[in-house]
Amino acid sequence: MGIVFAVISGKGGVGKTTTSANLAIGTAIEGKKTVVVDFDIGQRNLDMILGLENRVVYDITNVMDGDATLSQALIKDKRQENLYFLAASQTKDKSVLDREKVKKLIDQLKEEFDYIFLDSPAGIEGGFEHTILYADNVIVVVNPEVSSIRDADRVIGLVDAKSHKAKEGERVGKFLVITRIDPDLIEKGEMISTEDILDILSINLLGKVPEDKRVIDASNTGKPVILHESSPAGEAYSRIAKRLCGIDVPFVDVESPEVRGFLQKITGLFK
Amino acid sequence: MQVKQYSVKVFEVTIENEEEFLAFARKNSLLLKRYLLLLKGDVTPTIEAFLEEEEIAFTHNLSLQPPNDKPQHFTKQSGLRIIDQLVRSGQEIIEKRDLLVLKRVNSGATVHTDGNFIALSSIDGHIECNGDFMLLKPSSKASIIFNGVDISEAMDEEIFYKIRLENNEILISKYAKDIQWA
Ligand SMILES: Nc1ncnc2c1ncn2[C@@H]1O[C@H](COP(=O)(O)OP(=O)(O)OP(=O)(O)O)[C@@H](O)[C@H]1O
Ligand SMILES: [Mg+2]
Repeated sequence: MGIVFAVISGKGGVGKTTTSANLAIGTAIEGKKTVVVDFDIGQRNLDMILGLENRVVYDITNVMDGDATLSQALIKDKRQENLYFLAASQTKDKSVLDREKVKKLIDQLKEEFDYIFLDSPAGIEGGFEHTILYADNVIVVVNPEVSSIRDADRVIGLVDAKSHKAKEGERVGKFLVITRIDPDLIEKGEMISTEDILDILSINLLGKVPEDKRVIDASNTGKPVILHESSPAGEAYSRIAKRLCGIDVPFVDVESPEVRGFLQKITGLFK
Repeated sequence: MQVKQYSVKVFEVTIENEEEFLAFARKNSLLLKRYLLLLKGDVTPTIEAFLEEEEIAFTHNLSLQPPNDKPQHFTKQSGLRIIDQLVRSGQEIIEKRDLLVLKRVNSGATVHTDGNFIALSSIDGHIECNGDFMLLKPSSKASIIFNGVDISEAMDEEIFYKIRLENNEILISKYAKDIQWA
């Protein structure tokens, strides 16, 4: 029986899709049969980040409406064994997702896969609610900045109130990924420290991802950073993916400028 | 004919000085809109015009029992409710009893109690307490309303404050930087 991870944030543009794509690749690399599903109906972009946009024939709506079978709609990644992708539809009609259909789809995915990542849309409306409905765990993505943290706090509260598991009195695992950490801004005191974020949100830290220019290059080329050699963000995602697979990986300091300098020196060696 | 009965919360203010009253009313206008103002003292035309403009309902000829016994006591229930969970953004707690909050009250969260209020972790959210006593540690983001009065600005350090209502006066004192548990 597979494990469902909903990747959520409340605030838009903090890095959910980047996190979903990289962690899905990471767990596939660790040998888990993984599927990543784009729940951002009407605004799909996970296909582009994964470099699979030209291979989408059927999408999630086609499957739920019975116009295609799940296996017809699943796209198998050619680069990465064990990795599959299910696209969002690009129609603007968000009402296409309904609870029953979502449950049926997730039950089917749990039969076939070890790890299931659901990339949530921003906000707290319909699409978000459907993403958390049948999640076993949520991965909350934040940037070290007040509005992102407040929105994350809000969605964590909603997970406790609305997810199926929480309603049944079971525990939904909650994990935090802090991303786009900029050591220079942390040093200047312009970013909220990890300690303060954990204090406010009080959920388990899964990992910290530094700001990394290569993330943007990667989304243009369709090759996520986790597949790049010597990308600090890619390395961070690879550590997080390992932790998700139960491997004990120590936390690495991505916040001090000196450490980053050291990484940069090593990076230089490979050039 | 239709007759209905309502309970109205009345806020009694004795005006000693026009300017002082206007400053108070301006700062708390949002809050005062929710009450009927019973004005004592000299209600000048300026004050009247201001209240009308702000749509704050007021009167100056209403005789009430001397407020020795606070009207809130009618609704207050005895007992203590303990909240051992973070109060997160978007969540609202409404309580008639005394409240003991062990974890944080985050920015965007609201706690309202007619009893006393004690919170052992930082407050970033909105607190409304109609009891006689509060012990809390508000951050600069917090908004704290005690018996209808916004006292947030009276607490400008991130330490524990003790707030009491005595003879209709609000007394705020610094308590401790941190509470030491044995
Ligand atoms: N570690 C990082 N370093 C630099 N840029 C990043 C990083 N993570 C994400 N970004 C950039 O931030 C932007 C938003 O990322 P992404 O699309 O993953 O966010 P999202 O939360 O899925 O957004 P939406 O709410 O719109 O779905 C993208 O341009 C992405 O390239
Ligand atoms: Mg996205």
